[in-house]
Amino acid sequence: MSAVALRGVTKAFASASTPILNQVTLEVPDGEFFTLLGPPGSGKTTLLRCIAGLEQPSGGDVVIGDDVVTRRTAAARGVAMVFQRQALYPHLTVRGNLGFPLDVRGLPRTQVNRRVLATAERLGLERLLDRLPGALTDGERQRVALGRALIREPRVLLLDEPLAQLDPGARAELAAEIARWHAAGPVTTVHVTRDVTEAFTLARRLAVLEGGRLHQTGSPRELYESPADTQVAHLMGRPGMNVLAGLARHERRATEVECGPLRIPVPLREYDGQIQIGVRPEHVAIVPRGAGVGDATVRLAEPSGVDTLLHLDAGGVPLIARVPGLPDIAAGAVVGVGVDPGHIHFFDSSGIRLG
Amino acid sequence: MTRLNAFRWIGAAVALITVGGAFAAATGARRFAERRYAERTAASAAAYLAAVTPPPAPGTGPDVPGFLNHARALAALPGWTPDVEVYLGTSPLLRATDAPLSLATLAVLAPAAAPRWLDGAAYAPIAGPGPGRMLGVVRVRPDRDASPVGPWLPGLVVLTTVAGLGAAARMHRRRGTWWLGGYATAALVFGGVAAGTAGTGLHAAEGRWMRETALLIEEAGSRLPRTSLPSLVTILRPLAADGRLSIDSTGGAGEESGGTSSPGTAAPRFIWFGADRWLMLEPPRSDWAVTARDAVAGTAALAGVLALLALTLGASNPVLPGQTEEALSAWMFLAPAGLHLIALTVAPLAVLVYVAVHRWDLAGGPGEFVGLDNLFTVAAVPATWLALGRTALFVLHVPLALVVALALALAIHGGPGRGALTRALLAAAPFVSLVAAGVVCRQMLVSSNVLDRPGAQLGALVGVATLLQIAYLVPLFLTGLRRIPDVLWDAAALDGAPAWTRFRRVIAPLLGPVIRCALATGVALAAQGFTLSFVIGGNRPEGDLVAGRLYRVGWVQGRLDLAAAVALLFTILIAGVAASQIRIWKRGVADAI
Repeated sequence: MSAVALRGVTKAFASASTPILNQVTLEVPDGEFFTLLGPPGSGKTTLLRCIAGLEQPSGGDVVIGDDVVTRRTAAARGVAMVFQRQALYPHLTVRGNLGFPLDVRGLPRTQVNRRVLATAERLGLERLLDRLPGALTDGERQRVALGRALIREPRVLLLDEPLAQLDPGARAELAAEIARWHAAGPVTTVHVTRDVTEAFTLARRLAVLEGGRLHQTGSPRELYESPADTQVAHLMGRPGMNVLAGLARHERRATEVECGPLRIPVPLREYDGQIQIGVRPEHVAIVPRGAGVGDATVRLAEPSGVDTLLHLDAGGVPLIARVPGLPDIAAGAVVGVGVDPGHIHFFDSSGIRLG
Repeated sequence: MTRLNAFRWIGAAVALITVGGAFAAATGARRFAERRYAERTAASAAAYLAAVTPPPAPGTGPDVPGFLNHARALAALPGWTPDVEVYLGTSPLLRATDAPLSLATLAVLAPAAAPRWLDGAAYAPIAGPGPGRMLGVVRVRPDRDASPVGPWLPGLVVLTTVAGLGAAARMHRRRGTWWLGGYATAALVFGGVAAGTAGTGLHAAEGRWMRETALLIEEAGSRLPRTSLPSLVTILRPLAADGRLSIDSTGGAGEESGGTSSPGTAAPRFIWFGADRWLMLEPPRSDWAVTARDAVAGTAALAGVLALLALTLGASNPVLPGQTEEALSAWMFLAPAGLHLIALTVAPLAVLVYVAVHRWDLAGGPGEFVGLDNLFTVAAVPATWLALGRTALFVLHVPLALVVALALALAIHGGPGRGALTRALLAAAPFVSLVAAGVVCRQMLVSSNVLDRPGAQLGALVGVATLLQIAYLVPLFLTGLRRIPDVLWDAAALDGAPAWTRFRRVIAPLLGPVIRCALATGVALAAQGFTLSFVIGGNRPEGDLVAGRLYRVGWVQGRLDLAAAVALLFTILIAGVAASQIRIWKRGVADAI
């Protein structure tokens, strides 16, 4: 049994020529934490709102449990949602916000109070119960929003980029909170994000949504290690995979891909013609000039301490390399580029993975 | 002693001093007016006796029996009431038991000089025949009972003092604000009454002197041989003291019209000497000293309130270095607003109280102080309460319109009608003129004779006002609704709140500031409603709201004092309602700002 299923869900707005969701079919098993990763405008929030009942799909069905809920109101679906921001009732205290979904369902006051206290305790909000949302930090506000969603024990929890507006510290804390909560009592969760780190942190299973279409579904490792197309390759990782379009030539029992001035030997047999190859930045190395697959000019060095991102330009072909530590390379320098042949991904000219 | 306690003591002292000062100024002005009355009366009586006593034949002494007769006749003149004594030399003529005049007094009163004030009485020399000769002396004692202060002023002194001391003692304690408010109210009424007491003292004394002097002039004219009017005026002119006596060229026409007078002075009096012979007695120029005391009495009482308020504010924070300068500049920034407040709120209110405690005709100008009589008079008239009741009913259209407008706004906000036409209509509606709407409504009602039915006028008024109010409120609420983030509507929908609960628990509280502001301003404006009622009701008194009633009493019936009393009554009632709803009003007004 799957807790949430989408069957060919399509959503088109009158104002847009292309549908924002195009025949999305998806199954999320009971108790799973499922993440949808997509760039801004990919339709992921619309998908979430279709599940929640805040949008009516133009076609297809939404199934929760064994019920087709497409025509049901949001309140009747048993789903709860954590929004990106600003979704707390500003005139109610933390206590009022947490208790609201129970209050409006007519639960007795004593029971509401008991559950509010229990939830606040689990989320570490006891001290904040009598504050108004205006007096909370962003992180505290999102924790209250999470509490308000979970307090009524929904069949499905929807998370709409809950960490996006938080600073790194609060983000890690809330991510840990969500993970812990989910581990303690698995509630089927659909989580959408544009941030790959957030996806990696929380997801057990992951799907990439782009242009209203699902590109690939699998574990984060699967999607990272064998992306189904260049878009997935680009989205999985920060920065994303370098994708270079080139021409493959098979000569003297070896294959070489020619991308601008770069000549990249690849472990491919008998391939000729247009190809796209993908290399993650960590698999691009800096070598002495002439020793690698070609030379490139450093456009920008982005050091983070542990490693440094070098934005390279190889005769018009952009390339990002992640090198350890703080190398003594300044913008403008010309360096040799090395590529780890064991970590090259191959895509055809339309972007579909080869092999 | 803590600093706060010091402030409390200073506040109590200020309250005592200002109340005492106002009382002293008011009663002092009154004594001063009586003294002026005595001086003028003495001068008039002395001039009268000098005029009617015939000059002795050459070589003989003064006509003592004749003088005695004239003096006795003066004291017995009907309608002439001063406490008078006439001395021939140093001996009293009217009451033999009176002490003789001291030689020192006689010496002070140089012949033909102005009246003098000595030992609580006014003395005026009676000019004898020939220059530098003095026939005798007239003494007039001020009549303390002529214009009693009445029970109001002392009563208000006690009330204001108690309220002032209470407010000082409760500075920064529970209910302190209530005491300060009570003190302010008491001081406002007390100030008005004190100023009135001071002002009317002069007015009453002057009026009395005018009446009595006109009598004297008439009496003198009848005792003198008949002569031409100009020479009569020349002989009688000294009787007018510092007033003015002249021939009335209109031949008494002025008497019918009541004469012309500037506010604050008595009307001229006209004295008839048979046929077309009229003299006109004009009052002395108004006495600035009394006017000044009048003002002092009124403002001193209020100064205490302001001082106490300043102390209360000052006591709320410890003084830090540089804070005095800061406070000074803050007050300077506040000064324009403060002046505005005084000019447009405090001053009119003070004038209102002043007018309400006097008799004041539109035609005759200000009259005597009447205390709370006007309030009791208007309170006894059913029309006052009917107007108040109608106004209360009329004000109820504001919450009614609010509910309807809110429902409309919610329907428009949630519905498909966000189109340009809906928006244009909504935006245009508030520009409908009150008068235009009223005229249209009146035409409809008049043509169907509905206005003659009881209550129809108020019903029509409420109907039109409600429609106009809705037209004004819907765009306001729509703006408010648009400012509520969509995500909150979504969250409420997901949390499972039914529509009514969603409105009551989420939308209404978030619209709260807009609703409270609309309610506060709407009620405030409706309570003053005049235009619409005037246009729809025309001149029918049975549809008057409070403002219409004020207009009718003040300007149609010409009784400004009663109109002021109605306004005061209404203000007191409104203040009571506002005090009970202070939280809503305060928040509503704060939201409005």
